[in-house]
Amino acid sequence: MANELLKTVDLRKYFKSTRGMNPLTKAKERVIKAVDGVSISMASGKTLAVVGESGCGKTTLARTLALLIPPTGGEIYFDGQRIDDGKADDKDVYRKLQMVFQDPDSSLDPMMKVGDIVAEPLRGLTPMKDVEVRRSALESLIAVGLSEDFVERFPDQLSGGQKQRVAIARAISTRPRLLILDEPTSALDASVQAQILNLLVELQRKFSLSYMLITHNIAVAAYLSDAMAVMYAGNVVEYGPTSAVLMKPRHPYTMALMKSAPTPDPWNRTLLQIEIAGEVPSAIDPPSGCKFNPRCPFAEAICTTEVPALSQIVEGHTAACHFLQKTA
Amino acid sequence: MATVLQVTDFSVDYRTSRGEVRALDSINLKVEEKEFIALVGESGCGKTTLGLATIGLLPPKVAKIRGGMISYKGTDLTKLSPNEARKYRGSEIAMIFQEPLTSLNPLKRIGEQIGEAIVLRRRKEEPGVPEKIPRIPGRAWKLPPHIREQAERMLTLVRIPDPDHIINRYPFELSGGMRQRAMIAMALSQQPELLIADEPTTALDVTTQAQVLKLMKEIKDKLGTTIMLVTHDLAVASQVADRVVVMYAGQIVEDAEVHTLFSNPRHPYTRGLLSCIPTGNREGKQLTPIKGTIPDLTLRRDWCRFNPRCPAAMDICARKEPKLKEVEKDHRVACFLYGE
Repeated sequence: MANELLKTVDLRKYFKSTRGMNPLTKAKERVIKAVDGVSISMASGKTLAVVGESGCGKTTLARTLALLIPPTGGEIYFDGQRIDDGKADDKDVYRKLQMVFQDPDSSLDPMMKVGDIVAEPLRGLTPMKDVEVRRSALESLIAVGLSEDFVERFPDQLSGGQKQRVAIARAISTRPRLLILDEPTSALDASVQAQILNLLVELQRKFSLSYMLITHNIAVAAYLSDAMAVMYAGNVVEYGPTSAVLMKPRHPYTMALMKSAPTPDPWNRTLLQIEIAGEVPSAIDPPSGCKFNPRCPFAEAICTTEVPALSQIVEGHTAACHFLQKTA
Repeated sequence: MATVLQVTDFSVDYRTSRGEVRALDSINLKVEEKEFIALVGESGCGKTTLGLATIGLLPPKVAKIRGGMISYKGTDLTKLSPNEARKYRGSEIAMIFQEPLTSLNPLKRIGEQIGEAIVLRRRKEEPGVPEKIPRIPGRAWKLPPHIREQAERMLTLVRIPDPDHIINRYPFELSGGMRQRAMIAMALSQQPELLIADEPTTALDVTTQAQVLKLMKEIKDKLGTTIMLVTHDLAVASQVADRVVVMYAGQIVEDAEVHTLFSNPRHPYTRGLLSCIPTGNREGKQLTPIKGTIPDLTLRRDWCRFNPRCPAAMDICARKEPKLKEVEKDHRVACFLYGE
């Protein structure tokens, strides 16, 4: 891919579950395959949305990419260098790759003033002097639409939308290249969500940022993204340009997901037409073969035995299904 | 069509550390039989309070009814004694909540919880039936066959697969979507006329949300239950409701048939909410958020509460409070843009 910023090759993150395990023999120790072989890439200056339902592994993917948790296997390349093998300069990676979390109430330290929250990455990751740090932190605050008055405030003196602005200001303070946004608007009311979405669009333009947007909200993903990856039970099942994934989804799960996403349109009640039953399978004991097969209207014998690989539909649009000809 | 619920000039105050807050302010609302109505608004607009007041579950020490009435088929629910109110709660009006795990009893099996509701219903028809589920001697837990059969029927109705297995499960053993279905089964087993659903799908995944909403729609069509859906999501309301009521800061600002509301929204707040919903791609159009924030409800106002945030505000909006009135058939708006 031209000007590729981030790439993963067969990225895996497994967790061990000790629930019900015998501590001596380790019998019943089970492995949760939260991210199970994800290979994606994203272009610089663009937005990639990773969509899926709870438990599909999207947040684990985000945390692994941000090096908050070490991957079990696979490779991560960021800005041309491998970052997951411990040889890369951590501070350099963190400076260029920052994360915004869903709930600012828990991601902002309640004992710190807003000015210090935004300045902290600068103090920890850059050699800046204190004067520069303050000036730079203030610039970030102003960039997210807050003013100098906020520097001395504590998070509990802010509204939900303002808190999320502070979290974004902190993330952009080191002028990173990539922001990983994990459900950045899910905790907000509709009118505040719209403000934050506009802000994200504006910041992307201003600082030529790239976004990886993790969300379950299809409308938000559609609005912000250029490309979309749909995850199901630890795998990417469909990947392509946002318009193609939205308008011509080919994986049966993506098709169901797009119908289930409510649109404000009483003339087109797609939500009531859905046929899909059941829920996302447990990651401990997923179905064999294609993990979607128990819920899939097109499933046949092969789907319970063989895992489908991502195959190309058109240039840049792939889906992992044995029966892509049926979903056309 | 008969009117099931008629709310007239209904007001509620909450006592808070910062003084009294007017949570509901002169609510006027009529719900017809077999209607699927959605109450929509942002957090703090009073939609949940209205639901709780209807079923008589307002927090007793905090909430004070300041006037008006909620009439259910001619009975004023706000005047009932606690004992009389119990006769309506569950059997006439039922409610389901956002997080089923906190509203189900964690120590009782699903079948037993649904069984209780079934027994209550039977007691209403034959007062001699004992209140407790009869125990079968020698067994730690077993439902009598007639109750079990009915409980299974309820679980099948809400499309729970394998009901004779689920009946013996505890709530923690079920997934979120299953729990919410079990809640709905329990609410329906008393055959209520009116089902109030407070954000029933907000904690669920989108494919599960779609299944639960579709189920509610089917129940309305099949059993003729009147449904009042409380939601923050206009898109969800547009997909299932017959009529949408938009609330802002404790008041109803617009009330219209669903197609009318989405094709011809009249109140600036409704328009604002609609333009906040992202549709299409960012290249297409910028979102127009509503400026400002929800007003502080501790301050009494006798002017339009949306005025400071309203793009169409006029002089009169800062002096007088607009009344909710009909601007066309079945379309009510509280705004001076449509006359005084």
